[in-house]
Amino acid sequence: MRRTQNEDGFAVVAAIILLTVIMGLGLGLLLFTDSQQKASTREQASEAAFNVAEAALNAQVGQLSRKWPQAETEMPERCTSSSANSGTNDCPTSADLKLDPNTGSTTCSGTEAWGSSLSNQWTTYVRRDIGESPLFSTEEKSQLSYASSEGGALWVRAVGVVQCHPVTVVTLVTRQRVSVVVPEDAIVGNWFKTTNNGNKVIVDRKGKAAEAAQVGMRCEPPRSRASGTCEEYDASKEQVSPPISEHPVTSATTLTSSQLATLKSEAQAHSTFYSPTSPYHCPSSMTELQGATLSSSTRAPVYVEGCGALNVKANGTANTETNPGFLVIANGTFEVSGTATYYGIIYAANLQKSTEAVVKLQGKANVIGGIIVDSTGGIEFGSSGENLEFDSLAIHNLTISAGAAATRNSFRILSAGQ
Amino acid sequence: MNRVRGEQGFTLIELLVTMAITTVVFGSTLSVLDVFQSNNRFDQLRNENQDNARTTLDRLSKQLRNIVARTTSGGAVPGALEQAEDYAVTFQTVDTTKATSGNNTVNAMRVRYCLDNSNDENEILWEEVRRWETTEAPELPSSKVCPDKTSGDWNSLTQVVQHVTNRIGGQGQENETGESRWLFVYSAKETPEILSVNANLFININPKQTRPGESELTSGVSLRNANRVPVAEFTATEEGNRTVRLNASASYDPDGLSLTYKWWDNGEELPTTSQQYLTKTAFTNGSTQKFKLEVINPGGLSAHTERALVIK
Repeated sequence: MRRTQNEDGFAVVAAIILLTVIMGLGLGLLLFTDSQQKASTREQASEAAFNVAEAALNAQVGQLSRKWPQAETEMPERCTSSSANSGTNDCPTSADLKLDPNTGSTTCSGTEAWGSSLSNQWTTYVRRDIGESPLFSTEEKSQLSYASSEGGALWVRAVGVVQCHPVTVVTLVTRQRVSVVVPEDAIVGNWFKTTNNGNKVIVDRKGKAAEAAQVGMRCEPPRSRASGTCEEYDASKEQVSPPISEHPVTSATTLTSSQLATLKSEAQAHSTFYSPTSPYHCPSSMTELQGATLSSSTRAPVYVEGCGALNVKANGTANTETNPGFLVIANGTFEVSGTATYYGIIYAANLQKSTEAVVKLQGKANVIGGIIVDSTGGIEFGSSGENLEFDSLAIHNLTISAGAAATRNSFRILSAGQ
Repeated sequence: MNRVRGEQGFTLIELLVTMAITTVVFGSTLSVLDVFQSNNRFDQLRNENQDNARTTLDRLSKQLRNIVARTTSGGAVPGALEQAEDYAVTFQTVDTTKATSGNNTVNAMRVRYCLDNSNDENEILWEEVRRWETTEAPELPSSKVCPDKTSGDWNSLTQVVQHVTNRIGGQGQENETGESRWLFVYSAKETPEILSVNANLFININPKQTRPGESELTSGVSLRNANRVPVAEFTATEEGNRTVRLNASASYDPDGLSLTYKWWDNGEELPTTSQQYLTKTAFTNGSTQKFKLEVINPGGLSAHTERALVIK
């Protein structure tokens, strides 16, 4: 047989081995590239999911800042991207979170640690802080989703999902309130008068305090042009006790327009906003003038707007001595008669710039706190007895909502099981 | 006669020429292969190095996001970072690699990133980690050497990025656009005031050249957990009946959070937590009243100030 036709040799085997080696190398390279690609995609998804979670967290904190949940009905068990609504509860709305819908996926199966479907692009949970530790714990899951007490704090847990990859972040949110600075006087206005000639105390500007508060009259222009006075009462009958010795001049407006706007929105949030415009109404009883309790020493304001000559002829009591309230009459006048008692500050912004009596206390109506009337408006006291007893606590307790904010050092990125 | 059985062969010249050609061809092929392999290896190292740099910046970002602001037995400590230098940063972060153990309920660990430029041709970024099981974190190491190999300072030292060029040619060198080449750039000079960190890594992508080809990787993180000290300011004004109006409306929190107020009159705490307060008692003429204000922010940091007022 010719040598060239000899079938002895290892060419085929060598070729197969060589091919196997090359294929192995190729496959290895493919797997390496694939794993690198997957790792890169996973990393990218993780970063995107973190951004979504952080955005959801910020939106929920912003929502709590606008309206703090006071009752169970105000906050669902969870808020999700698929159930984002138009603001009927305290969940973020679609407008709050303008995310690219393509980053989410509706095809993901399974749930995150607290049970929300991974098909939700974002989910937020609000839970009451159990307060045992400054840290978030999984025990928060079973807590209520609102905090009615002023000092209560809420945990916000937000989950962002991108390409079925969830990232969870948490932060502790506390309510923010700031003091409202008003003159520490028994009454403030352009003028005041009493309509009784009896020998009795009608305005007690000392109350239970060690020292009497002052009476701040602007007197621009004077109530009585003839006498140039702005205090019409019978000093000889001690209707103002102790007798007025000083009359500090105060500024024409006590609160700014932005403070008024904040008070209005806070009253709306706590259902203590009154207006003749639907769906609201004007108050007719002392009960309706009581501010919502935020804590043992803080109440939400009551805000009345556009009710014209509001006359509450009623008995009963609004607020308490230890937790006085804050009644804001934005425009119009306010008159109370009967045997009603109001604990707190009555503030008439007098936006209509009236020069007449803006606040009238008639009969045995009694205010334990103080009365402030802005601009050129006056205060008129009635007939049957003491109408005002100064209480500095009502002034010291005046606070205004400054929203809610994340507490520093509470932000955490949670591990998968938390 | 069949040619394959012929005894005629190649001449010596033919063999020598063939061998010479073969040598040249194989030599060239091997040289090309060598260069190819060398370049391939270099590319692989370069990609690996850049991958390491990216991974390190990602890890640094995550750790900074999960930063733990320090607390001691004396309470909260302002700021989030422990040390902030141009080429090193030290902070505490949540350890996500293992579960909580011992009394370290926060599961915090201390991390330090520092640039070692002892070798001009190969600056190295180190990650140093310290873990503990006590309630309080161990003392911050005093050594600023990189890497800090002092026994007990750190549990682990890891080279995370090589061929860094931030300090090549000397500290503070600027790049072509005039920007600084500091590894870490902060939002404020003082550590307690820092709210964000930017990390800029310059990587040498061609170590064989005299002037390195560079790639710049950057990342910035806002420190959400950083807590800053509030500012305490107040006025004390005498009013009628020898009373004094205390007004702390000039006090503020740098982060815009609401404050709690505490007042003292000659060492005795006043019954109010309001921003403004009018004292109740009539002070004696000529007496000096020392008022003290303490403001506390929601993160637990406080500041106080005092003011004396002579009653007229």
